[in-house]
Amino acid sequence: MDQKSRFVSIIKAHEGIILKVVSFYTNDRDDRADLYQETVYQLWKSMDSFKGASKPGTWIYRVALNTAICHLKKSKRGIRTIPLDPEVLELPDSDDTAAQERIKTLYAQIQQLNLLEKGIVLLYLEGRSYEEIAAIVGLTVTNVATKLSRVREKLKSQINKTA
Amino acid sequence: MELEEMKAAWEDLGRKVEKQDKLTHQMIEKMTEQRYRSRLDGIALPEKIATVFCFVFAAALILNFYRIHQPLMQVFGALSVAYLVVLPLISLSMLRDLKKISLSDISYAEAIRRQAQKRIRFQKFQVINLVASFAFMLVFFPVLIDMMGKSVAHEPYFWMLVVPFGIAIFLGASFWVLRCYNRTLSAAESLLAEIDQ
Repeated sequence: MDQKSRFVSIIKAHEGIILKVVSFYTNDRDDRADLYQETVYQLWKSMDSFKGASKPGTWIYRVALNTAICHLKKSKRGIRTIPLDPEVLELPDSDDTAAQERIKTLYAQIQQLNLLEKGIVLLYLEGRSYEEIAAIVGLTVTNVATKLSRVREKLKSQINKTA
Repeated sequence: MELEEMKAAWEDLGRKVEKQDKLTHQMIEKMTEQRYRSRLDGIALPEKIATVFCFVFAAALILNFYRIHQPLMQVFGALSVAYLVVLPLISLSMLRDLKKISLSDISYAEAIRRQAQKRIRFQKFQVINLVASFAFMLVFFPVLIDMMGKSVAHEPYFWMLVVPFGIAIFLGASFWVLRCYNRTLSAAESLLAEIDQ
């Protein structure tokens, strides 16, 4: 399999990760389309350095999270995007109204977090172990645990404020 | 909503997202090709226009240098040319540096750190730019007047309009840039402190 086909199959297998990271960091559809395409491009650019030493999922998280930080502020710099089917960029709706409401609250809470907390919380929500989070984020395992416990406190105090 | 509840909601969403198979081979190829082409364009349009404008202005000044008579004005003219050539070059090299970072080789915390430092550096450059622009204005207008064969000392418009107007613009721009600078600095510093804690 040549590099291009290998890349396409990795992206297709992990498109859910890209969508989740992108939707975690953007509110607006244009920004989402832009960040999505930039993430795919950055992954393609770093394909040479990805030798399979880590799992493709870990590599995709790392590049997608870093792209979200480094690219968001530059999104209005005139780089063109290709038109994408809106379905590609939309998270699936739930039939359950209560579940939809929970997702809405979840996103409102995420907006209150700073960039570092956002990254750690996203990986935690994704079910990654503390060791994996530490490796992707570049902190120690203890530090990750401390930060998550601070996020818990922050969320609790937000609930108390709104109650 | 507490973190564990958030996790349950996210897992629910994740199960649906992971099943999605909406990207096609063609879409992925188009995305990378389009971005690659855009990157070949390199620098964004505003920087291109500003650079061309500065270089044309510098060339015009050099070509008309023989029309500057007083030695002090010749020094001011040389400073104006230096400003018009050096500042865009610094700006372009800063932009080029921003593109050098490889996003797969650094951790998330390192990316945040670099981004915060970059923002601080950029804001500092804006402050320097502002002061340099004001200095440019102060040296350029007398040169322009001298090139027209007149003297600054005998030019009432220079003192009545250009100087007060220039100072007003400078003060307004300073206020705005410093406000942005302080805001960026405190946000970036708190992020850096958060990483190092």
